[in-house]
Amino acid sequence: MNFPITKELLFACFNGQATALQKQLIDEWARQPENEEFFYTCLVEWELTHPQYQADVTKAIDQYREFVANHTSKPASLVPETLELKSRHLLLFQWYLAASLVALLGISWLFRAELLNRTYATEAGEVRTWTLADGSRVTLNANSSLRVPRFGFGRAWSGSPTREVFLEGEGEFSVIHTQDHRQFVVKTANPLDVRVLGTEFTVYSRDSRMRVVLNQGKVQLRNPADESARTIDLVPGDVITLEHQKVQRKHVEDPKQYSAWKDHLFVFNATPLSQVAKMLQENYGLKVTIAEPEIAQETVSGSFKATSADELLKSISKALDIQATRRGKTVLFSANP
Amino acid sequence: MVRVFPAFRQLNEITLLETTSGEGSGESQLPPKPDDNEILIRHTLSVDPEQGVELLYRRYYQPLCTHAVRFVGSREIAEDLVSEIFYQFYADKIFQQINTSYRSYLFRTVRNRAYNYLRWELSRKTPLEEKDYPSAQESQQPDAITQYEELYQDVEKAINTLPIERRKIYLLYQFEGKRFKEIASDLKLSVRTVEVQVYRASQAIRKVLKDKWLLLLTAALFLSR
Repeated sequence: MNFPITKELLFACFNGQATALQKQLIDEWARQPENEEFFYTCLVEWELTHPQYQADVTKAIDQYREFVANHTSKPASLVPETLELKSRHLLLFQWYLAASLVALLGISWLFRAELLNRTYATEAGEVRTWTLADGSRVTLNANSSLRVPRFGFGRAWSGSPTREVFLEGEGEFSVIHTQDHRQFVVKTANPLDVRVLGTEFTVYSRDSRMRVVLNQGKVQLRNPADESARTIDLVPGDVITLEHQKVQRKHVEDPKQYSAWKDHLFVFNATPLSQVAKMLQENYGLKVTIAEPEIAQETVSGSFKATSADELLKSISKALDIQATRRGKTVLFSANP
Repeated sequence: MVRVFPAFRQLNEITLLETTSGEGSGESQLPPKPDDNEILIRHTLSVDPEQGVELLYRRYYQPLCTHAVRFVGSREIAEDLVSEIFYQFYADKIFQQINTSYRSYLFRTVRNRAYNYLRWELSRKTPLEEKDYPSAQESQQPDAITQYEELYQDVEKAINTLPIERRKIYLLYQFEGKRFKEIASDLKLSVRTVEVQVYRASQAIRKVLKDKWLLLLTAALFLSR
């Protein structure tokens, strides 16, 4: 289509004056990289001429410079080179000390996430294992991340009565029981904390769906926002799912099927294609479209070993007798002609 | 004010970098031409990254912040989000992996993160009352570029549904970042009144937004079945 997308049209869109059809045309048009560039060029111009407010750029740059200084070298020592001070300079020194301390605290506070935590992350299609400071091991599935405090994790610290980590995506944990019996707590964006002492379990948390599977040991699930709510205690083989505020509990004989991904094995149990599509998106960052709605309902069962997205696509399309066409990050499933 | 950001960086940002690094399969791809406006910045980044990022600040910090604030409503949060992007850009040397313009990368990223923040914010405080949630099978991040436009315009519309006085108080609190006490003394109202107005305003805005944009739940009720 040759509908001209002009700067005026884009401005109208930014202003909320574009029709639904115009927006759709812009969406299509913007899929081309050169057009997307033009989109953002116009967006910058529009924002410069219609700002919501004026930000203090100088102040931001000053803070940025502080960040760089702290990032490349150790934080400035507050102990002065010489302790010999004439009394009339003492006040000035104290003021300088106080100001530096405040500045350092301020900067540390601003970047507390950077300074206090370490993040382990996997990319699309990647499965990787790490050992944490307390000896516990975590294996992350593709497109996942785990944020762990730098301090007070391996050894207890007065500020941390528990070992807390923050998970996004999916991970299998093998937690060491510490001598001081500190609980290991897995927090996620979902309102369910996983608390263990020493054990092996898998946590899946993406979007608003969550699943916890216990391989061995004992796990307690708790609502972080409500201390008085009932907790859930799991035994090995228990599978808890949380979706749309509904909690479901079931028990399986072989909980290891939920960590099959560690061996690059994909296990399906009458899984509809629509769900397979979601999994492809989550693990490989692929955008999947299903051409015919009928095939979206078809189910696939079995375990497939696949070390890459293409391998998996091949296996699935063979199993269902459909076609999988891949272009970069987009995949189209369609019925065989 | 203590504020904790969960990991807002979503898988889209990782795929973002992969896509732009020219790895297609089955298609011949010319790397997109680097923007002529940014030639100086590109050169500076290669010889003095710290200075290069500073140039990016001077050019893009302001439009990024004013864009972000349309989503998140608070100047302070917008500025934190934008700064975090620049810090990460510098610390992780992201500029070495970019073949599109820096402008594209920065704006895609800020929209991505602002969208996540807003969704997180909405999900954090919404009380659980409905049984029927939209069944969204849609992907988590909008892939249609104008969906971001639609989101911030919905935010603005939601604010505009508020009665005038309530809207004024809400904006002083959210946008300006003033405290209840300050607003109360400026407008000659009681602190309690200000609190109530802000509370009602955010409830109303959430209600307008969540039907369309929100699928997540909050902490309150699920374990007390």
